[in-house]
Formats: sequence, C-alpha cells, structure tokens
Amino acid sequence: MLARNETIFKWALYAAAAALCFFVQAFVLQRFTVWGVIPFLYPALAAIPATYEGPVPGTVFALAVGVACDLLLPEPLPCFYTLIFPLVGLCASLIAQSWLPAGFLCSLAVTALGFVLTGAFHCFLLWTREKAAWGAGAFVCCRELLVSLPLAIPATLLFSAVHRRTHLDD
Amino acid sequence: MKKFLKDHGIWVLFAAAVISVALAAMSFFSNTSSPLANLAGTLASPFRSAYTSVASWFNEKQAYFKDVQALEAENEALRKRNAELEAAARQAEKDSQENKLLRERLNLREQKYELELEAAIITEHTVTNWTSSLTLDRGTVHGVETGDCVVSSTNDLVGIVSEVGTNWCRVLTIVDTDTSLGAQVFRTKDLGLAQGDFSLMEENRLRLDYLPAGCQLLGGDLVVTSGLGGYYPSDLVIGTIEEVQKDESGAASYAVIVPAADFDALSEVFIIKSFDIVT
Repeated sequence: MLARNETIFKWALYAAAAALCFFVQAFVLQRFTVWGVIPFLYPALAAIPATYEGPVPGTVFALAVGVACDLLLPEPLPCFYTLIFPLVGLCASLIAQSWLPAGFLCSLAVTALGFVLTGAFHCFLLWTREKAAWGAGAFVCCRELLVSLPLAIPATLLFSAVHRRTHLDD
Repeated sequence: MKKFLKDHGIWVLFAAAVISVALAAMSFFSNTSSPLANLAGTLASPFRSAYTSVASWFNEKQAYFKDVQALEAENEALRKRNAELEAAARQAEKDSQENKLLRERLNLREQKYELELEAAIITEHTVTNWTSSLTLDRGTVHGVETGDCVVSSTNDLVGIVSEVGTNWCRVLTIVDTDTSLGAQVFRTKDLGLAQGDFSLMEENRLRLDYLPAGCQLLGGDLVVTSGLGGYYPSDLVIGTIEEVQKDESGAASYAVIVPAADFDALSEVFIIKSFDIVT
C-alpha cells in the first residue's frame, strides 16, 4: 500500500501526464483534420489510466478528465463529459481486471469503447432534441475512432511510464 | 489509497457529483459561462492568441508565395465584378434618392439601421467533431453578451455567441445543431426557420424549415435573417439556397442553405453588441 505522500505524488504525475495530453490536443491535434475529422485524444485519457488503476480510482480520474473537458469544450449539455467519462473509466478498469491485462491491446480496446460510448451519447442527445442523426453520427464516430486510435499508443506509453514510476514496489 | 478510498471513497464521489451538478446548474442558469469554465477559458485565452498569431504569421508567409498566375486571374475577375458593382451602386444611389423623395411625399419616417460592432480575432476554430464553433478574443469586459450575433467583414452572418468569459467568448456557427434563427427568403419574402442539422453540418450546410406550403424557391435565392421577435437584426445574409427537399415524412419540404460566410477562411469577425432598427 502506498503512503499518503506517494499517493499524492502518483496522482500529481497522472494529472501532469493528462495536462500534457490536453496541451497536445489543444495546440496541435485540433488544428488539423484527417478524413474530415479532428483527432480526438480525450476519451483515451479517460480510459487508459483506468486500466492501470482500480475501478474506483480509475472512475474518479475519468470524472476529473470529464470535468476538465466540460470546462474547455463546447457541448450541447454542460456536463456532457462529466456524465459519460466516468462510465468509460469504470468499463475500462473492469475490462483490464477481467479480460485483457493493461497494455497496448487493452488500451486500444478501451479507447475504442470510449469513442463508441461518447459517440452513442452524442447521438442519443441529438435524438432527444428531435434532431436524430444516427447514420451521420455513426459515420463521424467511426472516422474519429480510426483517426484517433493510433494516438492511444503514445498515451499508453506515457501512462504506463507513470504507473511503473509510481508502483516500484509492486 | 485503498484504505482512503474505503473510508472516504463514497464522499469523494458524492463531492464530485455535487460539484458536477452545481457546474451544470450554474452553466444552465447563468448568462455568462460558469466561474470555473470562465477561469479555464481566461487562462487558456493568451495561449490561444499566441498560437493563433504564430500560425497566422506562417500562413501569411505561405500565402505570399502563392501562384502569381492564380492571383492575376482572380484580379481580373475582381475587376469585372467591381465594374458591375459600381454600376449597381450608381443605380442604388438613384433609387435611394427616389426613395427619399417618395418618403417625404408620403410623410414616412426614414428607416434607420444602426449596429454597434466589436471587432474580434478568432483564436480557435472548431474543437470537436460534434459541434461547429469559434472562440474569439472578446468577452464581458468588452461588452459581449450571450446571444449576440457575429458577422464577417462582408456582413454575412457567422453565428451566435453561446458562452462568454472575461476576455473570451464562444460562438456557435449557423451550421451547428444548437443554432436556429428566423429567416426570410429575400426574393419571395417567405419566412422559415434556419437551423443546423448534424447530417449537413460536416458539409457546412444548414436547413431552412417550416416553409409555407406552395412556396416557389429557386437555387441561388438569398436567405437573410427575418429579425422577427427582435432577438437578432434583420437582413443579415445567412446564405443562398442550394436545393429544396422533402423531409422524412414527405409531407413538408425544407431547403438546404449554403452559408455566405466561409468559416474556415475567417480570421477576424465582428460582434453585434446592440442594434437599433427604426422604421
């Protein structure tokens, strides 16, 4: 079990790694499009750290990422990411615990799940406002997933480095 | 950590949930952005501006070395267009004088159309694949408010301010799914509701719904804001009609509008802080 100061250090490192990813997204990735979509890193940030930590810490970290996203991004619902990312984090940690051990394959799987859940939530909200666009939404979600999935690899490297650095005794 | 979460985990989740709901409620009921969103936007604003300045500098340098032949062809086309516009302006001057004379004879008040504009630089274009937005470098300190219209330098409607911070604001463009505004077809005077549609958003198009039965629209018809309700100024150019289609039920028709403003090419826009139309 980690001491309190080690716990604080661990989450500070996770937060710093997430901040770096936010910076890359804001100043590099969202300035260009591939296949008509912007590469989108945020669902990976909610999913990947959760695979290394347990369900509760992973969910809370994903919630924090969701709150940060809601502060920075325009969405139809003010708490859009705050609602969906904890679910992404919880599912990711459960998958890592039950089916796929944390690693590249697991990161790709949970990132894909994150995009599917986020896209489905977007489509659901459009449907509730009588502007249903399931086909167009699925098309955007698929392209977003294909364009963004490779970014899960450097994100996995980053968060696994944080995990190794903070769990030296495991 | 396990012990901490075992003892306090439920309280951490409860606190996070309360904060989330409070943020959502504040954002929903507030005319400006919530305090945390405002803080995040205010902190990010200088970085956005700095990045945009550097990117603009590189784009200008790149544009400087563009194909000269293309520029010459464009110049020639613009000369012709300029000659046409000068002729139209002369005719408009005559019409204006005639209009003034007739107004005097009929004892009608002169129509005034005054807009209070605030110039703004676009610091960020669309940031997600599910919305169409712009971030500007003007906020509450400059008198910007939620619901203000944003136009391009050629007076084409760009969007509506949806969120305002201290020194920044976010604009949802007219093709975004959350935007809807009263519109009028300039030629036929038919009224409708111009609103964003997710299926069309990617192609930078929007819909003109609730058209009257039997309206005869043509491709290329100009669509402007109706100004009904007084929320937005009238006669701002939204775009032109591309095609008229039947909706899913087949009972009603809607038109697809091509916006007059090219959102990707914009770097500077004008926020209409207030407007006064007296007829």
